[in-house]
Amino acid sequence: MAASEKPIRIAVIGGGCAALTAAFELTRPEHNRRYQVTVYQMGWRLGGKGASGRGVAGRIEEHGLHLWLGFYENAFRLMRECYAERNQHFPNARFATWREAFSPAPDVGVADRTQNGWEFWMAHFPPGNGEPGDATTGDPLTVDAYLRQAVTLVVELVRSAGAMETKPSNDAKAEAAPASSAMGPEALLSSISALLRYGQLATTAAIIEASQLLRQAADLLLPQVFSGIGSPIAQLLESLSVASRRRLETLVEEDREVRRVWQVIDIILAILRGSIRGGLALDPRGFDAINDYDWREWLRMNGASEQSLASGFMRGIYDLVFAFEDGDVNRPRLAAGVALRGAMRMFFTYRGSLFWRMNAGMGDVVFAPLYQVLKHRGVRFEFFHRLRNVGLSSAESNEPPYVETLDFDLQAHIAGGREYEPLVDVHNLPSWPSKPHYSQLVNGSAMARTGRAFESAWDTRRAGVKKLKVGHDFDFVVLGVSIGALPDVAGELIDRAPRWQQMVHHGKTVPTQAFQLWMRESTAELGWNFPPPNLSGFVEPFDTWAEMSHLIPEESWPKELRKHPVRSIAYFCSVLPDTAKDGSAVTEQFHRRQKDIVRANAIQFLNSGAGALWPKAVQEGKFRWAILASADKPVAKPGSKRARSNRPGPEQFESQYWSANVNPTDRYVQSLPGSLVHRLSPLDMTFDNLTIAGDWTATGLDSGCIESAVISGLLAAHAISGKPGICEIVGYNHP
Amino acid sequence: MSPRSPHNKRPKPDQTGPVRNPIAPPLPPSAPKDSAAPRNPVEAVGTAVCGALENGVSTAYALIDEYMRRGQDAARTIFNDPTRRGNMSDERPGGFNSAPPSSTANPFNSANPLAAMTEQWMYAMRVWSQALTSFAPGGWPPAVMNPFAPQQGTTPPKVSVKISSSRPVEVTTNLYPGLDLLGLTSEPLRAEASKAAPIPAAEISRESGVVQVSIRVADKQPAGRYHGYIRKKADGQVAGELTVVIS
Repeated sequence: MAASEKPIRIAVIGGGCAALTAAFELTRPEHNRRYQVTVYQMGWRLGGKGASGRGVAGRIEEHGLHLWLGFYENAFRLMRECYAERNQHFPNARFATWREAFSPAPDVGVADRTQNGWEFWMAHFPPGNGEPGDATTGDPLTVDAYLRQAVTLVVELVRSAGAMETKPSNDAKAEAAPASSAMGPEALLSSISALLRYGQLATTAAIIEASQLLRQAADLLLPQVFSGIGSPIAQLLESLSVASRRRLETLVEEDREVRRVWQVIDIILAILRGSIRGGLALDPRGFDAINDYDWREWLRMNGASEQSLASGFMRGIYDLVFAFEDGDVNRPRLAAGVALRGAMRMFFTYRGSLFWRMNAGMGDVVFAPLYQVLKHRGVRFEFFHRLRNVGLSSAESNEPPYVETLDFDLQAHIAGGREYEPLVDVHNLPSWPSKPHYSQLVNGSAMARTGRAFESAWDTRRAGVKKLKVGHDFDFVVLGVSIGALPDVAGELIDRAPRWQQMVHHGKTVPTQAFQLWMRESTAELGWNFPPPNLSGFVEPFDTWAEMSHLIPEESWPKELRKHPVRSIAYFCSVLPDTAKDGSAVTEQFHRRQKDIVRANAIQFLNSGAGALWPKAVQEGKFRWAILASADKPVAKPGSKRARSNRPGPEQFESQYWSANVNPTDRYVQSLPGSLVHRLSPLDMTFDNLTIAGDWTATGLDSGCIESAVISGLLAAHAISGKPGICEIVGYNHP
Repeated sequence: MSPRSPHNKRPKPDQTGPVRNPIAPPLPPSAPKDSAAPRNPVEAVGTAVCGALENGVSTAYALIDEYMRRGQDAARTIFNDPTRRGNMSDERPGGFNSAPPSSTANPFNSANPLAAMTEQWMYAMRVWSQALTSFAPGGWPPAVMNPFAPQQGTTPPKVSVKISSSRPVEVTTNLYPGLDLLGLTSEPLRAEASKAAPIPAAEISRESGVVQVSIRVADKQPAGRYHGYIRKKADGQVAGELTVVIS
């Protein structure tokens, strides 16, 4: 920036992933301080739905369960750059590199309810090529590449299913399947026709051969694969689908391992058939073309069996993205295009590991380094600023509408007019506390005594107000609050722009519930015999469990517990039935009631469901509450005389952590069928000097996740500065 | 009087949403959106791919013409000065790679407003040429478009960079996946924002599956960003890019 140029003032409202990504991009050194960014954040911490805090004993208390997927290219790239820059300026901070902050989590499980109870299908995903955030070639991801990988996977799965099914006496028969060697298109079509003349693919050998031919067809003749129903290749696919369904129907309870493989084959074949029938590879809308369908509905239309659609594998996908309308687990709804895109990216483009876990709280791993780097770059942070209203220019003006004012409630004044210092140090790791530093606030002692819910929708107490004016205090606005809060703070924008009305009307969110356990026995001691998993598809009300014991060294449990230290940590989460649609009626009493419901759900779950995961955690049909570790009230060693005489009950759960995410800003953003078309992009030009940022915007990925939020932040930065280039956003121009 | 500063109008973005089909480049902002608009070339492609060879070929040329026309229109719009129009002004289909691009109008330069569109354009060309070859005996070429595919050996080549420089230098290479690693050559790296003498062409060799790029930066080379293409020796086609930033 030339010395004579005035810096452009950017008001970033909100401190979630998307907003901070925009701040990071706009303050890159390449901009030469052209943009002067101020982040306005309600309460005492950054992070939005990814915020975490350090509670009693340095416990990590999360908003919910956060896992990073191996295809989060943009999010990992942000983190890698952030850590590299932080290490330059803060070389003594622990987690010097992103690889110290993130660990691969390749073991994934889904739960299936059988006649014999819950059974778990554990899968170990091999390392993907490279690491997420590595440089890419810039080529977009393509449907043809996906389909070829899908067909390859079918071959491998059919082979493995065949190997599981084949009795020793049949080995020779299975091996006798002709290995398809390379052949030309004509020979290939001739082979397919010959195979189809036999009618049904009745034997494993025939199915293996058919899948091999399909793979060759994908390699040689992909355009012809897209030529629709009736072609020999489509007929081959049809026959394979019929064979897989027939195979599924004949499998009995004892064949569950084989059945699970056939379920996945069945689903992949349905995807292939749907891609051909719907012409997805050539549709200019890409996968969005099927976004009006529910994911299972679309698979069903394309031949997937009911058994596959009800499998734990399929339920796990819905669990992963809280895809239950109004939080009702009997109404799974997920836009098919978003699901297909997510599944393709998740399984075929992950790098390093399918999942990655953070080695501390999300606040500590993501938002503390971002805060430090941004602060070092000169970004100002105004905590305790709650946005009340975005004021627009006059509707009678001839100019396009623009933001004229920003009204904030000041939730607290900082003592001495100083800057608020938000972090705490835990084992030399800058972290966020679970509560504000009241000592830094004017009247902090009184506030601490009465308690303040700075992040809630209902605690509207304020210490003052602030009005920012365009041209005086800001030039551009990045509106990074969640969509749930828009009706409260952006009423003028919604009234002025019909597309904003549609977006708010159709953009649905759902409350979530989560709890965390600190236990004095390891998961192996509790009877879990598999590697530490991320497990979905489990019994409601908590369908997802992640084993998080790797966090124990990061916390600070008191010395009294050393004899019986914390040996495992478990996180659970799920949707919460929505009794206040879109957070419109959240009061303090309502929030308290919802927290009570979550606690009751957790206690019921531990008593009735935990035994399926951890058989030894249950005694006489009840959860052994004594295994829960409490920093406040250490209890006797499990099984000891003292413990037997004074056996703790469910009240011991009070010492654990749970949350009811019902605030408008806390609710998870869903991708319901028919809703995506109403999303607005950060690139939208409705308002002259405002862009939006959040996983609720149109990001290309269009799902509620960290990657979507980061893409949104990149787009918001592009909307203001023209950078980063759209082509630099990995996966944005994706089918 | 409006109190707004002169800053607060946002620039018009290159595109307003994702390009969902990799065959389709972002439409120019001026493209009409009513029903009388020209037929989306993607639809034409779809029909052709599903049809016979001759239809595919003719539609391919129609598509190429369409992209050429759009690229040229955009180039005319943005680079009114004919001396700055670069190789996008080449009226001949196929002339795209026929001459080394000028440093100022380089369509692949990330600072160039045409960058996103021309990259899409180039990508569409690659996709289409791949689709065409699928009709021919011998089928698809080994290169697969997905740069992340973990199973199919489609990753970009590994690159080792050797720099001879007395000053801090940042080197970025971008080689397309599926390349034959033999027979690559670099062109001199031209300064993007000055008239500084180019950095001599990098030496490119291959050893044990790794592309070795050796760059020598003279002591008196001015600071700045230098850019050049890596091309296939056989046909001169662009196979990648090389960027050097001298601090």
